[in-house]
Amino acid sequence: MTDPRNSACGDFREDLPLLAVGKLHGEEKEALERHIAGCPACQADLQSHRRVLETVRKESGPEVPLDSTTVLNNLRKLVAEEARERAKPAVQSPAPPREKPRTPWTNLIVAVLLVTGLILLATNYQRFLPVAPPPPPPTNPADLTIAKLQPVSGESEPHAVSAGETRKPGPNAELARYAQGLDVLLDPATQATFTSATKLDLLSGRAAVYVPAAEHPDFEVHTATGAVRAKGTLATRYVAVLAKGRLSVAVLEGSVDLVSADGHTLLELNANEQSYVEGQGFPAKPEPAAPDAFSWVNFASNAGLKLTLRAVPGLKPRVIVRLENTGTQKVRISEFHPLHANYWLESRRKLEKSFAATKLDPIKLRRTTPGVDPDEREASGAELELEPGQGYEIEGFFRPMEAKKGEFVVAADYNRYGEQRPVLGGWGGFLRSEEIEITWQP
Amino acid sequence: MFDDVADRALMARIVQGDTAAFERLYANYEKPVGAFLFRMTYDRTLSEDCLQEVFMRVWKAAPTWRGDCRVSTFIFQVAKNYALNARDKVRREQARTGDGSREAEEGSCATSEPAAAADAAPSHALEGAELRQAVRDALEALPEEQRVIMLLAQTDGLTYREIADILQMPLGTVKSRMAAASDALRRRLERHIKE
Repeated sequence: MTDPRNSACGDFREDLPLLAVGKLHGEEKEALERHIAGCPACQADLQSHRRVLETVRKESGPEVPLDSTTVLNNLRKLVAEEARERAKPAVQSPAPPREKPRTPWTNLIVAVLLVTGLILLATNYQRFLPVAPPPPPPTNPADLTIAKLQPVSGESEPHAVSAGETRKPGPNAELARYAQGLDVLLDPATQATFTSATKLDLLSGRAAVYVPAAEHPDFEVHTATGAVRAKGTLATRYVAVLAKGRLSVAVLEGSVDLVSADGHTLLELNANEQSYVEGQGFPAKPEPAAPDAFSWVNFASNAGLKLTLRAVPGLKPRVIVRLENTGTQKVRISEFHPLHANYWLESRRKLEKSFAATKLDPIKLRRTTPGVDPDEREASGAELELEPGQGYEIEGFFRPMEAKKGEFVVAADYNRYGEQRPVLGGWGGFLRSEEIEITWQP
Repeated sequence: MFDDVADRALMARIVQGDTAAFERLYANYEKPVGAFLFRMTYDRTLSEDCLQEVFMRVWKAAPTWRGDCRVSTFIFQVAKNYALNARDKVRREQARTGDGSREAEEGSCATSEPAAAADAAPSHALEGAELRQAVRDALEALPEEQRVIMLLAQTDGLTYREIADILQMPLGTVKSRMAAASDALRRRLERHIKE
């Protein structure tokens, strides 16, 4: 180990592992190497770090490289799907023709015209003053709309939210969808004012916020105790709770700043961390997010969807998983594909912790509509809207598992590792076993 | 080190919908990102899923990416977040079911006992699967922030300044956590490694 009697060793101690893995460069590296040349203790320490870290590198990687070709093929399909999705709005409202690249000559002409225009404006500005009085401020409520509000379940129509409007959801949670995909889910017990397109004043209760990557960088949830701001270039998802003057924040993805009521950043919270602030004090030290920090989001957003499983006997028994919209409104499935979900079948003995689980390998996808023959389509089926009563059937095989009939619990896990928006759910939840029926055909 | 100028040129083409540029970027990064994801999850299927998600996110986020960091920083930030989410999900799943059976896909559980026993031995050089398991156990025993730094440090092409950018941490914090992680690994592993 490094010689504790040599104070110079202390200055370099933390650099040794970085040198050992080849991460130290420039002056820092040169200074350390000069020191090591005359310090046997640090030489030995470096060798020790190097030996262990090289072993760690060698032994921790995949023994066989990942199947990057299959991943690339999947990406090609997904990118093609995404490109088709992007192209859809362009059909309804054609995009303006792309500007031709400007040449230096056209740039010069534009510049001359601009300067001439400015000179004319400066010398004759009175001519350009408006004759008519300025137009009145917009009175059309649509002009003040900052988001569309949709109950997560229930029959109400979407509601256009105006700036300054205060909401308190009824029996169902409400999802506010801003422009550019920013979403705020309000718990039924929540009271909040939609102050502006970039600010939500949380008066009490809970709000779950999804900020897409690099968009709405200034959006904040503001309370009398403090505020929460998403930061960075990544998508951010967090839950903010205001109760009895305490603002609690749990971050699922990305990172946020916890800001004091007077605008000073108090603390940065990263994914899977939570903290709180109350009164005028400093926030509590970040700690791992509680497992149930996001559970109400799942509960609220799972409503309206039902999962059933049917076993089809045969030499190699198949299973049909059906995902059905049992609500009364159309459900649009965003960024989630029924074939990409994980369907688990678990066998669990009562009062025992032992269990076994197996996963479905899907082979076919069918779209189903009441009274209509199933519409069989490719695995990459792109239509992802479910009318009431409509559903998807995914047929496949469960990988073999030893278990006895009658001991099963079924879970469909459609969390795509943080990919989901709370349109349908998918904030990391399960369709719980009580929401699932299993029919074993004879 | 990754070539940021070339990567930015690819990102600019990706914004225009150029899939060839996207595949080129994938080819440049799939190995280091895949290895990092595997080391974070120890699950081949999960890390392949994450790899797919990471690059899908890069494709989707390209038009709105502000370009205020290196492309490699951006990609590894996304990868780190997906890996942590995936780990968290597996942990929640295990907590929900009260068991770690699903980890067995890679066979890690099957060999954990011999490795644990070996860890308790004062000085006993390990080889093959036992050494591999001992390394995994030692990494798993690190606090999460130290493990992430250690695994990023095992990634080719990333400088420690870039690791600090990825984790949005001061350089000094990265250094001290890396040193703490390396010391902890040495305490657990050095006696098991042949001279």
